[in-house]
Amino acid sequence: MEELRNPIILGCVGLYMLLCIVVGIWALRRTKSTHDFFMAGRDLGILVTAFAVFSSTLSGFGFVGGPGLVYRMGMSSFWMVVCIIMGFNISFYLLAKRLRLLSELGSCLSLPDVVALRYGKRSTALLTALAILLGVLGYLATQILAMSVVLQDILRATAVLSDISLESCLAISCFILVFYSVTGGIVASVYTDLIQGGVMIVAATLVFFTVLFTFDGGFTEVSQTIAADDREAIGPWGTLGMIGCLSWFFVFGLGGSGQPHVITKMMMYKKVSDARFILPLSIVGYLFSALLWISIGLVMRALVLSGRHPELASADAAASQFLQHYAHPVLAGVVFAGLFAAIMSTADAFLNIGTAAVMHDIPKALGFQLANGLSWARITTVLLTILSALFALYSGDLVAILGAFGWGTFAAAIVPTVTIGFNWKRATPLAANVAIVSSLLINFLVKLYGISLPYNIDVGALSLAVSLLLFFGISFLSPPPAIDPDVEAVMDM
Amino acid sequence: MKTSHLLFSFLFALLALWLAVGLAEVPAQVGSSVHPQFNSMQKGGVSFAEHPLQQGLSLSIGICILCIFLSVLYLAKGFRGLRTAQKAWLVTGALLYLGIFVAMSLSHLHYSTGPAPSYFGGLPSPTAWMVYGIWFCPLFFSIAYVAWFDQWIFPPEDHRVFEEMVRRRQRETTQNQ
Repeated sequence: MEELRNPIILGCVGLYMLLCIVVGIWALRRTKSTHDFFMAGRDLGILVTAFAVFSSTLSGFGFVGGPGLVYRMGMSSFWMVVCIIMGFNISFYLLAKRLRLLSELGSCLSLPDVVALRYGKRSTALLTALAILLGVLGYLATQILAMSVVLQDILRATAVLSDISLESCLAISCFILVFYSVTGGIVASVYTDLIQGGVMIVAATLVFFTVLFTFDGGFTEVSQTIAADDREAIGPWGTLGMIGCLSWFFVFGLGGSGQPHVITKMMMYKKVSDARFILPLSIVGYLFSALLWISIGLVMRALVLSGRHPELASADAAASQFLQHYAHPVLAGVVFAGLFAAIMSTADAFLNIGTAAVMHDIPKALGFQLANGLSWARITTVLLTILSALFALYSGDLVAILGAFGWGTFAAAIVPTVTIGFNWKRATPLAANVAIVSSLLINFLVKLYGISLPYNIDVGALSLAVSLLLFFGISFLSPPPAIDPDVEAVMDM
Repeated sequence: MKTSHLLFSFLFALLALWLAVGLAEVPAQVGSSVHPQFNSMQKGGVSFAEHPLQQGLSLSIGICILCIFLSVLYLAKGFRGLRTAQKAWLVTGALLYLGIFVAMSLSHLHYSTGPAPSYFGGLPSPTAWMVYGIWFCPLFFSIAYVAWFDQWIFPPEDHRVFEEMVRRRQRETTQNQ
């Protein structure tokens, strides 16, 4: 079986990509208008929405970067995971019903559309769309780059394609992504999310049980091995320390409700009452998928410390080394397919909201609308992918800066404007505009100049707290805003 | 006090605490460092448990963040339409969440320098508080969302009013065209 490891991995990844293409062809027939392309006709079922929500939340970072962080820092990055139930609660309590109702009330196609409806100002919608677009460019480029690097690793292990270039792998990855995103828009995106979410759950659960049996003493032996070397590493704060961990807890817990590619899914489900089932399913899906993040990193650290495995060249190699040496070839194949699934489910969601920003939100905020919306949506999807691919290949450090800039910027821009603003009638458009601009400025300048905060406080957490404070402060100091009576009635519900 | 004022106060307190931590003297060897044997790993520094000022400030930051989370949840719906037992459930969940965080911090106080830690569920006890307590305690609120959705989150009366509103807007749009 071991000699078949590479063909099995390649087969699993190939099968998964084929499934994505099939879903794209199937979704083509269900996509007849821009409303279908961006909002899936507001007709999504419970399971599809739940899987789309959790799989978009957990990007490729959860499968590569996450285990790497656990290997390097011990328990520190667990704080990004242990906040997630509270994060989903915040998203659902504050947004699931409100976004769904407002988007139906205003026949909205995107998040900036709902922002315009709530605040009655084009400037707020324009700034929201610009923040989304900037974040999307960075995030999408990093996802495309990650997808290409993983594909190159897999293909280089075969005899035939051992010298395949990164550019060729990028072209293959982008072709699959573009194919189903162009043909089926968000319909293809969410139904591939269903497959992707399923693959991620199965892969993560199997990995978790493999990890449990790697040491005879199970997880207790893993913990004891790590504690014997450094107790802090397996303590609740890991090696990062209490203040840094708490800043992650804050920005990942509250900031989850500010991720546009995730909360946009809350505008698409069929019945408002479905939200009561979507919340627990999203939580369960995420919990299972996160098992991979938390288990591989710890076991690899214990294996290296106990001398059973040589030191890793880099922390990010934790997942691939574990799969290569300790997982059954079929499991390795499923996990690699799961990795692609995690990356693609996030990438296609970004592609969709980025396309909406370029061909719908920004033109609308500037006072004009494009005819033949569906065709323009498809053309924009292709152009945005090409732009992001070029950005990934040739922008050097800028792609890393914008990639890291994503989560915190979205959180600081969207949490005040949308999460709080849709639940607090006193919020004003000026406050929302200032919050968005401050989030962009703080995050970009800190990343650009490489400023580090004391005790590893996350810059996203700082910008989220500052933008929220500005948002509340300016709203308190401004006269109460005029709100459309119907919007106000929805906010009272 | 309104929820918005409360949230503003907690956010202000959080920034003030971060500033205080930044201005306070940094204890020696408190930061992480590269592992002496394995370059790809980090090793933890001296725990804050040895420094009462930093420990107190960090604990306050944690409580402040939890209070922000809870206030944000409260901002969404408040206690409108809930019976006393249901309010008690939510208050219990909130207190438990704060209590578990404090318990975890206390259990970590002498974790690094004390005798060998006890293990629960495969993890040292402070870490077990975090993984099994802080991670899962918010399920209290998820259960409330699911169980009382029709009564609390979106009652049938709201549904009826909303459908009527959408129909009226559609009529107005058609007439305007």
